[in-house]
Amino acid sequence: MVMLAGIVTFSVGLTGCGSKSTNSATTDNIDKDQYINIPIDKDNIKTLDPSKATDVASGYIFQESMEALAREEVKGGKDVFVKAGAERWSVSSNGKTWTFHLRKNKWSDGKTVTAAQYAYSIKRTLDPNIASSYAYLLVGAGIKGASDYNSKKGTVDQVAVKAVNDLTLEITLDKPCAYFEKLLSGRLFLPQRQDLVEKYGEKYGTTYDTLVYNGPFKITELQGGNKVVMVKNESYWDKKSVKLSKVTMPFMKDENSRMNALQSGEIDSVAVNTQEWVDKFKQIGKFNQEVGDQPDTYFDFYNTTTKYFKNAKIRKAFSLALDRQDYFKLIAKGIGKPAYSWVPYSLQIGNDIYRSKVPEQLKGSKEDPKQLLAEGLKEIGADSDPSKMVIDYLLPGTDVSNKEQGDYMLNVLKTKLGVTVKCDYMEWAQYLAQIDKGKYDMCFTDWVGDYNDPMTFFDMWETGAKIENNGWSNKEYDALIEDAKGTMDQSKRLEDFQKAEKILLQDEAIISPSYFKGKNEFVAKYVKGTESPLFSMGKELKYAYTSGRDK
Amino acid sequence: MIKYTIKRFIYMIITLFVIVTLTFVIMHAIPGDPLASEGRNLPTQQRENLYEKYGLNKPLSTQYVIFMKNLILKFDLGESYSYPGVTVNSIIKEKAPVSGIIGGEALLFGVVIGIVLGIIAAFKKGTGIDYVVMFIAIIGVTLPSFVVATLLQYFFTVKLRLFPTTGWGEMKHTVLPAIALGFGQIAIYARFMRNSCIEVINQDYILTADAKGTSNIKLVTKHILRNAIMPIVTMFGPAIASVFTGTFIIENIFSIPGIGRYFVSSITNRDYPVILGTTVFVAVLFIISVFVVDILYGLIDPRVKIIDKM
Repeated sequence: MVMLAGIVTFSVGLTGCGSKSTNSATTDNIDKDQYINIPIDKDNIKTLDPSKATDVASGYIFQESMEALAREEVKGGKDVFVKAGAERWSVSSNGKTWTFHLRKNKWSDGKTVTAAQYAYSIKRTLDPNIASSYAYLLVGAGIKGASDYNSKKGTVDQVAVKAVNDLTLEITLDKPCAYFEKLLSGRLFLPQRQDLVEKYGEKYGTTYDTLVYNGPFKITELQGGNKVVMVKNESYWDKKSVKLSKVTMPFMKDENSRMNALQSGEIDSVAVNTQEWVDKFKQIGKFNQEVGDQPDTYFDFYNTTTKYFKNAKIRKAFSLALDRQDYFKLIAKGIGKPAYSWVPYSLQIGNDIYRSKVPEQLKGSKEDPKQLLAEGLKEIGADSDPSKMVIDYLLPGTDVSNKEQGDYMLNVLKTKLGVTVKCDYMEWAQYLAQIDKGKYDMCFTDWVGDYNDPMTFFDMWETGAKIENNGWSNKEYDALIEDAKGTMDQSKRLEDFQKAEKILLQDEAIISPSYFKGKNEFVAKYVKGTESPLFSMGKELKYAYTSGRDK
Repeated sequence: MIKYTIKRFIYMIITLFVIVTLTFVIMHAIPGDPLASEGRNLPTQQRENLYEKYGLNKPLSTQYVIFMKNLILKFDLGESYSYPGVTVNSIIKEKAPVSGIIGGEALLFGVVIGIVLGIIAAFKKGTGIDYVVMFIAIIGVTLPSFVVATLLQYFFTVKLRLFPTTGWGEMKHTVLPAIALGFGQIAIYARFMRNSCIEVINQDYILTADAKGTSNIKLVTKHILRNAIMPIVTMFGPAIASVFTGTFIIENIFSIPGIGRYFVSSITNRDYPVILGTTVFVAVLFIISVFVVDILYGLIDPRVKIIDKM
């Protein structure tokens, strides 16, 4: 997923630790009227066109109203990929051909969901004229013909995605992809209706009635700036699991409005980021607090083409100067975890959690930042007096939280290292333009993973990836990532990623992670059966119900 | 009268033209472009395709000419970059009336209460009532609308559960936003009305009318009000325009699907067609309402001879 402006908050899911996944069928005393109200913290969605929608809000709506080949759920406290649009799949022995056997399912208009619709959707996302921002994930997975088609060097017929028959979909890759299964629950693998795309042309996706739905709910109302309303989809194959008859998602961009709405009972759940509200809701006592991880790391990165930051020791000095515990308390407000490494918690590699296998690299580091800086300055032949260093620190926003970030780092780097930092606060569009031009020394931002595998955090730093223009290129790193890309052996990949993370954080120190974003939600006690897998865009409502709402 | 109208019409077109051109130049002068975020993950060829699709790789002068041609010949303000497939015209058509309702209610609220308070203050000049009214006026002006909005929301939706916190669709959804928006305006109208009334009351012709034995009611309505209302009418021009522009903050707080947020978000997103479209919209409204006010002037105040001004 593209970088978000540092302060955007959204309801993304989490695993296990403390979250009650009460999806057991204790439906005694279930309320007669089953409905739920969950806010979206934006004022609108970008579009309902799955090939063009890049925002989280639309992702949440797809999660509840559409169904991809797989569905991310929580079973036994762990994130699992459940068979959804496909009832089973298999991969050939050489790891290159995936065959999906689809479940019998119908769209909300009664037509059958077919393999051709999945194939059409994938090809449409790859269409160079659509210019989808997510095509790179399909290309990166190595679908045969995808890269050529997307860069106008090949035709759509050469893309190896085909509907063998109405219920069988076949996808052929150039080489085995170890994380391919992890992509199957995302918007890339939603089916789309060619007849509707052709009928509505440019208007497709601009209003909810230009689409039909194959998920647990279908949209009956969508007014940008106001709300989205969904009702239970009676054509859905698993409708007997769906207990809610109505889901309302009001757009509530203002934080205070959301907090007031939870208090007044107009919404049933909300993410809370400030201590005062946390205390208040705890005190009211009518809510359960759910905490967890998000696949989101906040970090500083360095422009390795500039005078000072082309030296690894200097970069490392800056990285180690940060007291991550203190930062976590003051700036991250204690929500999430301090980041002594790059890959967030709860992210999986195969069936394991990456972080449980790889200890955090920067924890307990004994190196002295001041000394590192001195050594670095000597190596580049610069003046040994750190106060002569003036560093340009670029921040992606002009609001309060960015100001806090800038002030904090300015202070830290002055006291710990004696360097002078100049903070440059910019609006998002301008910030991006500035980075692309390479006109910065140091930058603050975050990266959100696209799928549940470490590769989404590592391939962005390969030579030529062009995600962050920091001028860094490292052959050893590239080799490790290419190796991880070319094998299905998860233990080998784990080794590769572990070495790669060490390069990023310790040997080369091109990034300085600050904290892992966390999730902190207050949910009304009468809400049951919701789940929050790591990559969900909001609370999974398929199995949700309320019990005791009007007590 | 006709000649005057035509003359004004020509001035209006020229003004509009200047506004649009200036906006076009300024918005392209800010660093950043609408596709920077979208285009980041695309291979170079794809990125170029995206820019070509939106016509952003053409020279500025060509883009300008295309925009002006569409505007003048087809009244087509183009398509948004942030919301693919959505035309600027449809945004204005759907969202402006919503803002208009809130803005209209707020204006009514502010004007009516403001005028009444202003008159009371003027007649009770120097007494406790006068000070109270002016105190309210100062609070109204200094309290930012979002503070008023949040307070109203807290008291009337959480504590008292009388109104919904957010949303749109029924009458009850318009009450709190309108009050929040109109509260600051009470102050302005009250103050102006008070000062204008005081000035008028001290005029010789009021003394004459009073001496002639005009009833108090007739004195107030026929003589004082009609003269004192002039400054308020002047303010009406811009006020009508601002009714539709909505306010970004109130619409965010109360989840109103109005046009206000497009004014601000389009700039942050560098959504050029929407920036230009909303600017044109406001400019046209403003220019027309100023023109209407000038005509009204001539009708209300016989001393102002519009026709003779030619």
